[in-house]
Amino acid sequence: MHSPVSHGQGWVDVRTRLLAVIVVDLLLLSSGTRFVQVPALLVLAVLLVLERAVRGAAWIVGAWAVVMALSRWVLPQVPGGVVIMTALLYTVPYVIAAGYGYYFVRSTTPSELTGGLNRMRVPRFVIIPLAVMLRFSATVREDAAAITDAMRLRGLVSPAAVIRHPLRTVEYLVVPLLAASVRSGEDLAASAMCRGLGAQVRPTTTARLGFGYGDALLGLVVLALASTAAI
Amino acid sequence: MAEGMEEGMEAGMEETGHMAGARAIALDKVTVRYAARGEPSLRDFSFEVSEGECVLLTGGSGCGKSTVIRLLNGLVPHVYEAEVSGSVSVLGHTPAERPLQETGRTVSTVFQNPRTQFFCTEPLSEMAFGGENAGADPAGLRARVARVADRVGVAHLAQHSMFTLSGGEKQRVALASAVCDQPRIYLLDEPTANLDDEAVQELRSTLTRLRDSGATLVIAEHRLHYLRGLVDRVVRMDAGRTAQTYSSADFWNIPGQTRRTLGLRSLHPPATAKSPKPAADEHSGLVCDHPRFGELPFPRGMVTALVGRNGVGKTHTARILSGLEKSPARVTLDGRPLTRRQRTRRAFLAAQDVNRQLFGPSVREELTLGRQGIAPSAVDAALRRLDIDQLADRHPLSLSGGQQQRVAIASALVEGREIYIFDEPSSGLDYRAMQSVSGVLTELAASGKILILITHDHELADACAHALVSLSAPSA
Repeated sequence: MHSPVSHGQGWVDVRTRLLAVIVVDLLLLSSGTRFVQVPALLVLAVLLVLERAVRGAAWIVGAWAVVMALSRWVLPQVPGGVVIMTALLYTVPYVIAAGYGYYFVRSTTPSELTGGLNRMRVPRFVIIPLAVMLRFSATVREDAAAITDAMRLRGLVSPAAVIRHPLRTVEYLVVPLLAASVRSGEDLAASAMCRGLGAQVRPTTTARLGFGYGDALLGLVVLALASTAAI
Repeated sequence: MAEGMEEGMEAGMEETGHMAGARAIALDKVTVRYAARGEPSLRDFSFEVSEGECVLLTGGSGCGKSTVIRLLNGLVPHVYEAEVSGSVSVLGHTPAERPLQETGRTVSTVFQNPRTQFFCTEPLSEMAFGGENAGADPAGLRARVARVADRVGVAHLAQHSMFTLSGGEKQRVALASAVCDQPRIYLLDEPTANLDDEAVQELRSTLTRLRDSGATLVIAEHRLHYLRGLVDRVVRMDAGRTAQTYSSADFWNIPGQTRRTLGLRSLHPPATAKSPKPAADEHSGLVCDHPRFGELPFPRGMVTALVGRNGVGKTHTARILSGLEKSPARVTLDGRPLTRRQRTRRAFLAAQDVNRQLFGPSVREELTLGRQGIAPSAVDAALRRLDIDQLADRHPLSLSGGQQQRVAIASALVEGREIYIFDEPSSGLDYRAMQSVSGVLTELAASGKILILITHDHELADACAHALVSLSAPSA
């Protein structure tokens, strides 16, 4: 049946994405060799670009390149640089792993997540908090952006102020952010529950779920990454 | 197959009419006291609505109308803790004794704040959300969503993310979502706070259709004129009690003078905008050469209303004028170009949620925070000018919305800012609060500042705007 309504994400099922993110993160955090890091980073960049998060992709690749350049050419020459270099290199796989987490959050809508996890027979007490966190994180980001804007207009955030009083700048952000998030969170929960979130009934989903070529492709890429790690 | 579904939906809408005349809502001597507040928000309040009836609750801010809505959908006491006495019955059940989700199957609410009442990130999933949670068949639900999107006028928003929609557009999706849930009772809490004229008319026709299909409607509102001919009965509230109940005919015939004494907003649709477009003066005031809207002049000493349809780009223009947004638009002040950085120093922008732009631990410190060389006498003068000197030691986040707005303005005044932009300052304001906002704006303009007022509210614009700049999407 062809319905005029089409929503839910494009090319890969939410379950495939979830599995891919978990497998790649496990590879990164367990082996941690550079053999898997580079291809994992490149795959992440491609995935982010496909989600139209071009800036995110540029940031993570750029940061990685800077760290690599520093530890190759600069830090070994500086006294004490080796310690910094070791610390930096140690954090790299964690940052890439976090990048995959960002990709998942960015590419997944709450209804898709709920629908996908339901199909996987994941119990409700796991699904609902996850879906709420996914939605709430977006509101916190929105609140934080609005507050940062207000701080800019109020002259409370400038490069000079951030360097001279970093803690004070954070304090200006955190107090209104907490107040705003508590309010937003309460309102969000209230309206979602009124619309049946957490009801006893087993929910259905209108998100498009189902496997296709995209899923097979992502599966192959993850398999290839896994074989790099095994080298 | 899709056709069958739609017929099913129509039948669903008709079905609600079967019980017409039976009692849908009964509140008997209800007193509500919120945990955080001493004064009760409702006192011995009694209220009945028959099935199929359409009732308007009105009254000043804080009169208790939102509390009535929260009692009916169960949010009081499930989410907002409160001591409740008396009896509440909605379709024969007590909402306090049932899970919120069960009450939500027959009672849908359109809330005031468009930003925090959607759960899904795209409009169509949001509309389907209630049905999904009730376990509806996905194919039928998709068809229902498509049909309602069409009828409520949100189909064109389908491809957008909820986060990129304007406040008014989100509000329309919220109404469409409520309609998709096919409840027997609709509760609407200031549904027009963010809507433009055309959207208000669409809301009116949707509400008319719902009423004709037999649904019960309870609407809490300040803006009244669009409900003429739609509501069967009006309850005017004051300090948690019923001040007066009117039949529809009596209410719409209240004379203007009495209406103003009662603190009610206009009962008649506002006349079309009468203010002229301000004359562009190269050498005085703020001029924005916008790539899409052309030249936008905002003279000194005037309140200029910036109007336009929901989502046309009013808030975005405000962000350009205040330097928050990068844009190729050229902005000049008194003939001299202003860089983006300079604009952030000269402009004040009162956003829709003022509580996100206050940072100090007290009102007084809010005015001096991060600024050197501000004399205490200047602080006192600014506080007095906005009539908040008695609040000087309170925490800004403990104040009401209107008071917070005054604190933010005082903070901009003390720094000698020249450009004041207000983004929908009247959403959720009753007649008196609207008059007071309008007074502040007029006073600032009289002292030679540039005042820009973004609003859909003609009553507010009529009360204080001297000129009007209208944004419309280029037809090409």
